[in-house]
Amino acid sequence: MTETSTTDGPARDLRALYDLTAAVARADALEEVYQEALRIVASALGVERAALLVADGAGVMRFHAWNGLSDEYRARTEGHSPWVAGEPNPLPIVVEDVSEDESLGELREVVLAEGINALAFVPIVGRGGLMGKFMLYSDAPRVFADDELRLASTIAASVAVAIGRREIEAELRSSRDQLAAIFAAVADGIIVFDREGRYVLANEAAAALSGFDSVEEMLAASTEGVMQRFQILDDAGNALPAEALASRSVLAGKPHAQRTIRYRAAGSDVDRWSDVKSAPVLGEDGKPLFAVTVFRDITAERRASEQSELALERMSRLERLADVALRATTLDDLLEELVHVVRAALGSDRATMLLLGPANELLVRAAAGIDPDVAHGVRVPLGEGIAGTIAATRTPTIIDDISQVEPVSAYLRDAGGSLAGVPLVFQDRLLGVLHVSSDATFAFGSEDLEYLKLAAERAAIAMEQARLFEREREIAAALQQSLLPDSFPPLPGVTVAASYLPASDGARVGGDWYDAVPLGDGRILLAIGDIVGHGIHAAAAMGQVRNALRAYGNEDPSPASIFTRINRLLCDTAEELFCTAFCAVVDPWAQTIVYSDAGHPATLVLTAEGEVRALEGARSTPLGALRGAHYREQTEPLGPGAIIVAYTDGLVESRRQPLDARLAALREAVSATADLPLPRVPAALQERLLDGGEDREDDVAMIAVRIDASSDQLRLRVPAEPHSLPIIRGALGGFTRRAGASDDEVLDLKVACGEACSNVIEHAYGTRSGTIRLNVAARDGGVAISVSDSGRWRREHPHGVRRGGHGLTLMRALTDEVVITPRTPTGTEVRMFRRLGRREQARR
Amino acid sequence: MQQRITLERQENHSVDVVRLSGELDLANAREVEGDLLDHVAESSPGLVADVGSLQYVDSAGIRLFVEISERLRRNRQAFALAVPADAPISRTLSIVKLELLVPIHDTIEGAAADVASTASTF
Repeated sequence: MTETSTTDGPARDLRALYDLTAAVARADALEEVYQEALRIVASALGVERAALLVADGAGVMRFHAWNGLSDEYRARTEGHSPWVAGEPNPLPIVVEDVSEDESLGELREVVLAEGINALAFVPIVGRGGLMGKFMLYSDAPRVFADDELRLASTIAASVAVAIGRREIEAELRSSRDQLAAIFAAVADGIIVFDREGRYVLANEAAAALSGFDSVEEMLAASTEGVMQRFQILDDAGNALPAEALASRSVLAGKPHAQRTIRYRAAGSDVDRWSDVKSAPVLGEDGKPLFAVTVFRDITAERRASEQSELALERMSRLERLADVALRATTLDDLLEELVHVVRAALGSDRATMLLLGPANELLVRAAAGIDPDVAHGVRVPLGEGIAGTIAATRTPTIIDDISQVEPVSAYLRDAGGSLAGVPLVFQDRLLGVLHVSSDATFAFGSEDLEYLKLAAERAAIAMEQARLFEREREIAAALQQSLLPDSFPPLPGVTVAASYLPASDGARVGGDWYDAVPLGDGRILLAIGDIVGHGIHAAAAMGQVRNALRAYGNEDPSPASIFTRINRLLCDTAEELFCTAFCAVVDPWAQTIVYSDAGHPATLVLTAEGEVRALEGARSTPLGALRGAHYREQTEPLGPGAIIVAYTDGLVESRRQPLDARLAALREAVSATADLPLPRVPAALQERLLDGGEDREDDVAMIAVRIDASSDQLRLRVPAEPHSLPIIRGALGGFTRRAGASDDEVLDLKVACGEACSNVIEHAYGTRSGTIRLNVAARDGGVAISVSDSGRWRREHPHGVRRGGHGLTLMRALTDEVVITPRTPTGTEVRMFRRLGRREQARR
Repeated sequence: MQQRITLERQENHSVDVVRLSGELDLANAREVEGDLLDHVAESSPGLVADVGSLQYVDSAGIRLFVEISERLRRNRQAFALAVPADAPISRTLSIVKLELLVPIHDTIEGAAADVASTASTF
């Protein structure tokens, strides 16, 4: 064993450390440090061979510096470590004589083969624990003294520090590199301000966002200079005072600051937005040294969210537009609401809808924001002015400055400003123009025009619908009017008055009908009905039923029979047609009424004495309801002067009052009309029973028939035509029967009277038309008949002397007296008298 | 206008028989004439008008019967009326003594026989 000789322990140590420190300071790379450290330790400890190993990332000891070692040896021993990885307090380990030490285990052979007979492991321990090791080799077995080991450990420690610092520096450099990379590459601007608010650092983005070509340029400029390049506002658009800037806040002591600023470069009209965050760097005194501000351009996001806000706003404007169409009940309401919604949605001062009138002029149909009187007076000829041009060219138009064009309307001229307008078109037809205007110029953009187009479409569709609906209503009303006259041609023995009032909203035209038809024999067929349903179909069905009733009535004038047949007819049609009705055959001469009621409100009779009674004797189900329904009829007397009042339930149905009350009111109202001339009765009833202002939900139809024939006299004025004969016969039959004549007597009187009338018909008037006047009275125990005319009889054919004529013979044979008197200046009267109750008379 | 008269052909007679129901007057006489004559075939011996159900007849109707009789005769065909004595119009017909111009029988058979025999004499 040789003793290691040192010059001076402490001096040696000092020099070693000094050398190391110098070396470390000089070294650029860790590898240099390792080499120096190795040389120093080897020299200080007097070893010929040494190695320095550093643990890699996996904790495996790797050779970083060595001298005097073969590749093979290193390969074989790399990775070996006498300590556990990460051991917190490893101590040097010495093997003074390899050949005698078992602790090397398998490596002993390798070590001996390398010619090493003594070695020492010196741990390099850093902050993180075991970082590496020194290996000190001796060719001959030797002792490593404590102070040698201590020195080695100290050197190791220095190396550890050096490694540590290098690592830190590397990290630092790497992070600084990273920082620089970020700094350079990031889109966000980063600026570091000093206490005085001067630029210390800035990145490319900051420079670019600030309008500088380079960072250097920016740093050279003053902060004020930069600020002047911009107009800085807060989010709401108000000017931002410098103190409010984030960096200033932070330099003033706020721990952090954030704000969104809106700015535009001086001279630009483009707004940009920035999100600004600032944080302080505190000095040792705890006061802010620097402010590091990061600002991020959020213009794109802002615009996007503005867009989506805009889109939401647009959606809600469109929804409001849709609402208008749904809520409005009439076209006028709809158009009024539309212009108001449009004005509110676009924020304009005015909104106007003009429609094309008959003289090719646009007239205001609805307006918002304009005095109604002014709106009323607007007349814009097609092709002139603003609206006129929009209409004529059918082009959506924006006028940014009205004063540059020539509006026709004074209110536009006076207000000036700007306007946006679109034509109202439906399937090629120009309906009008919709426009909005504001006092400010340039108030409208393309989006507003798009909105207007949509509103115009809505309006056009609604107007077209209303037009069609109105057309249908007009047709139904015309149909109904032709079928439901107010007045009737004079019918012998009765006076008829009627009225028809359609329902208020006009949507329910068509269901009611009435009819008064002479049957040709003096009797009148009276009917009223109410078809369930509305519109054109109901009106057409109503016409069908009316025609059927007349046809059946002519064949067999029995209300029960008529109803039975109509019921079958309606039940057999494919559609569900359903109808309440009242039908009666009125004989004003016999003074009877035969009636039937198919589910209809009871017809009333106002007697001459002022009593009101209801015709309720023959009720059945509505027509078209039950196929096998049975219809009855009832005969009742009807005195002279009695008025029959038939009506549809629109007269008595009311949501506000129960039906009983309404019926009582009706009776009262009918009673109150007793002294009115018949033509006024329907109107009077309406007035009393229908609330003028109340909306009529249902049509109201009414027909009143007064029996004019009196009991003691039959007076008839009929045309001198053959068809009057059955009427005369019917009247005469009714009258004489009531006067007590027997069937034979009635027939005789009919024949006698018929002959007198036939003479008038055939000879009195020639080719002209004329009238037969018939008066029949019951007196003196008999019947007195007077038939007169005002015609010029042909002298060649005086009464009774006719080719094959038997008239006079029959008249004389069938009555007791016949007196023929010529009348002056023209005409003839034939008077006949027949005593009743003397059968022999009839057999003469 | 109401149909006031109806014509109904009666079968199983040797001659043409038509029943009239309703009322016959100046208003419908012309029309009835044409309808009646339509019922008479060329080869037929003649026509019987069964007027027992007529409720009314006036001088125009009577004139009609006379005219039909004359027209058929010109065609060598006979005409007769069938009217029961208690029929409504029988009184009217007897007042004017129509039987002097047109054969009147109580029954259709009687009238038909009359027509047949008269026709054979033409």
